[in-house]
Amino acid sequence: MRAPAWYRLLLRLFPDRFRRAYGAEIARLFGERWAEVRGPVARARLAVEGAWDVVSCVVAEWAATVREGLRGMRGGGGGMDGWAQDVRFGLRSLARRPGFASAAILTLALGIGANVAIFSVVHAVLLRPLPYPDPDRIVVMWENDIRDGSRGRAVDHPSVRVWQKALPELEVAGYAGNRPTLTGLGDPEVIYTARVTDGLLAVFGLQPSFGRDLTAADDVPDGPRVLVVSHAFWRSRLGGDPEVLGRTLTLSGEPWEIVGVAPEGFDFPGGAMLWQAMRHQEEGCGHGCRIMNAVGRIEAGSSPQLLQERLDAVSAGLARDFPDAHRDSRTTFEPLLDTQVAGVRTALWVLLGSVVMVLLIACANVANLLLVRASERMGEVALRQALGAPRARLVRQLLTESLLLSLAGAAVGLAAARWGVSMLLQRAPASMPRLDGVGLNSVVLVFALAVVLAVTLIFGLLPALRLAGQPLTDLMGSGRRTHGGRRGGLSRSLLLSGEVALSLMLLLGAGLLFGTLRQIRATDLGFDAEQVERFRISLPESRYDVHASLAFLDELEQRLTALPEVDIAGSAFGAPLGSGNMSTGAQLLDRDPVDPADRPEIVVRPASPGYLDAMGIPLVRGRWIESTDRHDSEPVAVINHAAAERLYPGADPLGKQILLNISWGFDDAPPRTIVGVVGDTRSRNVTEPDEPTAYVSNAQFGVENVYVTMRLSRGAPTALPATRAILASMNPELALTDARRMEDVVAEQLTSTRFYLTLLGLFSGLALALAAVGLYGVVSYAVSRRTREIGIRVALGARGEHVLGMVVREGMGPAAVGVLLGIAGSLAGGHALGTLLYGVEPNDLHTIAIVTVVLLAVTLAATLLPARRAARIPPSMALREE
Amino acid sequence: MNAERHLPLHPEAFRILLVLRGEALHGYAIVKELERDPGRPGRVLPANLYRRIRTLTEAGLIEEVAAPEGAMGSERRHYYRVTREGEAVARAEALRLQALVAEARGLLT
Repeated sequence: MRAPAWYRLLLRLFPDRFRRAYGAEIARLFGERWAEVRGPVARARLAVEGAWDVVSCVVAEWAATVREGLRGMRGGGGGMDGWAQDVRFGLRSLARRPGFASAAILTLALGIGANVAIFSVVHAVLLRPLPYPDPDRIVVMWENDIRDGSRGRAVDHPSVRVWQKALPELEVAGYAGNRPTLTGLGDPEVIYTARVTDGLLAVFGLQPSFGRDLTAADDVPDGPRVLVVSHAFWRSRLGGDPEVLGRTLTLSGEPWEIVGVAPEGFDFPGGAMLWQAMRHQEEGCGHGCRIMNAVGRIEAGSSPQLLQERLDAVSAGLARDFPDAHRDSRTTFEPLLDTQVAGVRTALWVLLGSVVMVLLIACANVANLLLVRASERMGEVALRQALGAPRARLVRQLLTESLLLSLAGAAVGLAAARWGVSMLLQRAPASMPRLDGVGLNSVVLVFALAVVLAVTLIFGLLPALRLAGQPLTDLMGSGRRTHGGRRGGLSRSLLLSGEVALSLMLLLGAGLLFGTLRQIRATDLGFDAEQVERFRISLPESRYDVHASLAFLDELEQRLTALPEVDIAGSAFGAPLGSGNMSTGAQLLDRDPVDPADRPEIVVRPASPGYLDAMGIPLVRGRWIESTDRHDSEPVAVINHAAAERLYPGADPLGKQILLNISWGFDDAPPRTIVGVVGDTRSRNVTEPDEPTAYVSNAQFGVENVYVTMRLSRGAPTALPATRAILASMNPELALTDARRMEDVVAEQLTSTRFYLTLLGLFSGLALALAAVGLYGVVSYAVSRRTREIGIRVALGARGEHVLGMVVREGMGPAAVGVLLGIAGSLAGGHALGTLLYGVEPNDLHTIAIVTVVLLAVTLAATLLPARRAARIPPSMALREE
Repeated sequence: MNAERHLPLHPEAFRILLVLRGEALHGYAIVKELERDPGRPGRVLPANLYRRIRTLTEAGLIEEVAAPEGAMGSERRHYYRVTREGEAVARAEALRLQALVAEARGLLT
């Protein structure tokens, strides 16, 4: 059985001696293995393993050969292997042309460095497996709405219990994020914890470091208040106390007993410090009360397809027994890693694609330099051939030089990549997960090595084959006068077209992202972020009943508004741009009775009278919530513009009755009269339009967990110190969290787009510069080789403009072909950018036009410089050339 | 002959010496024998295997021999067998490991 051709080709990289002795056997052995495995995945794995096996051995053999050679040199120059000689010869030959060598090395260093830096991020974020046993089997459960295909992660508690019982091949645990106030351990502090069912550690294939994990017996109504602490929390906050089991922590005023310490490195959901027993009360929050997420582990040996079928069967059963809650939902699952990186996957692959393009351009440039040099070296090569050097030996000699260039480029590139990685980490958007593993580790170094080999073949093979492939007579006869023959000219033109095409694609990507940034900036957020500060406060239920918490918030707002730094303060549950939403089905009481399941989903936002002005949201019609809207007065609601359009298209919503089937502090959910309409705000992020929203008076709803918004007076930098003082005087145990200026919150929305734009802009600028330099070099070279011809033309009467036009055409021809190829490539591949763009189409004609003009202008400039020189060549120069 | 100077042996080299003890084998057969070891991580890959064979040959611990009578296939394969020195080295390595295990047992119990 023969080994595949690529494998045999790889084997050629071995030093002669080793290859002659073992090459055939290695190829045969690999061929036999190749025949043994079936299926594309197994083959791909064997291919990777086999390639790595050969490459690592090639490096080792080569290093050994060089060592031997060096020993030989010290011993008087005898007994050197061919490779060591090639290396020495290559070094000498490069040293003779330091300008050429440093230009090539620098070009390659830029390309290789950028690739290594971006790949180190791609590896850490996308490719590195999760740090748990059998991470591929950990999945996230999704509840999909069959009617509109939308999916959400929230599930209800009874479903988790049903899955745990009905699916032996799936271990499931439910969890919900929580932010209690921790007291009694330094200053009061709001920490991130998770309330969990039993089995979370088992899903991740882990055991507690010591103590026990939470069990089903803990997750019962009024069960014991027990929790597991994270290893980091135990170390840093509890002093690594070995007697920690049985100690209690005070969370929002309630004592919780520590029963276990999680193993080191367990971090799910990300950032959780403690895992509290859920103690779920199904009465009041049963089927359809989707307040938690679920993760699972698929048992070894069970297939995902089969599991999905069984889940479907379970879903069907739930839909039959609880139609109101489960009629239109289907449960699916997805690997945890995929869900964690879903938001950045496209962006990272696009970035890696861009740096690969930059590297290809760099390779094309170096190949061009080598082609130019090849023409100059024809005499030398002819001499060596005439003296009996076999053609393979010549190719290898030339490839060795290329390898030396790319190794030097990689060395400089790795240094640049180190710096690049630290820059990337500083500027990466906060939404980028798993950045902790980014660095120049062994996998990244292997990648760099692979890049070096690939690069060497890409830029070195063409010139080497061309040079060694010339018939002897050609080399002897035409080496000096013409410009490298027709084939050489064609190769150079093709390389140029490729460079220009790749540059255009990169520039277009950067242009589209720039358009996206502009669109995001120009988006009307629906509120006035300037001079607004906000913070979050959560009153522990154990200390404040609904009346006490409303009185507390009322007093807080009044005292804040009285501050000289503050114009007006207000509060609401959740805040614009992504902080907390609760939604429910809305029932419109003025309509004919409709199917109770067909209630439009609406976000409910309890707010105080001061909120509208503090946030700067415009009132469209009617009135806003007022201080007279108390629990004992008529229940009211104010809806946003989106809700008015959606619920009452073409009708006047004012005075209509709406029933929001959700309650909080006050247990009743009465019909509410719509008294006003306000503008939409971007509630999730800048790019998503607002959902239909109903604001209700918090005095008629009763949440104890709000964002307080303060509109600062002109010139006041912050009101937080005064706020902290007020809060401390009202209750020293309360923590103020998530304090931000709204302007910063808005700016943060731009960071990821700005980050990708910066990188893509950098890469496309690099690409453009490289392409321009390449074009300049090629045209200059062509001009210098044709000095005699041009001189004769001028002597025969050609005017300067003619010569200029001739040379410019020569440069711009390939550039124009490149532009066309680039546009075609962008139109074909532009959708890859799709999810990164907002308000701009991937095939935006405007951007394509601008980018094309810029590119053509730069290429024209790069061609004009040498062309003008050509136009000024006097005939006498041509004679001197002779 | 000084077997000690080859010690400690790389575990893979040690196993190659062991599988080549009885009869002369070619590369594919060596691979199959090596992979029968249940403690082995992953598969044996050709280039690394032949680098090791080269080292062992150069050290004189194994040698290339003519294909045995009745060997299959028309193509000429390389067959290897352990030398006397190789056997001595393997034995010395086994003794070394035995002593090591004994020492470890004393420490751990």
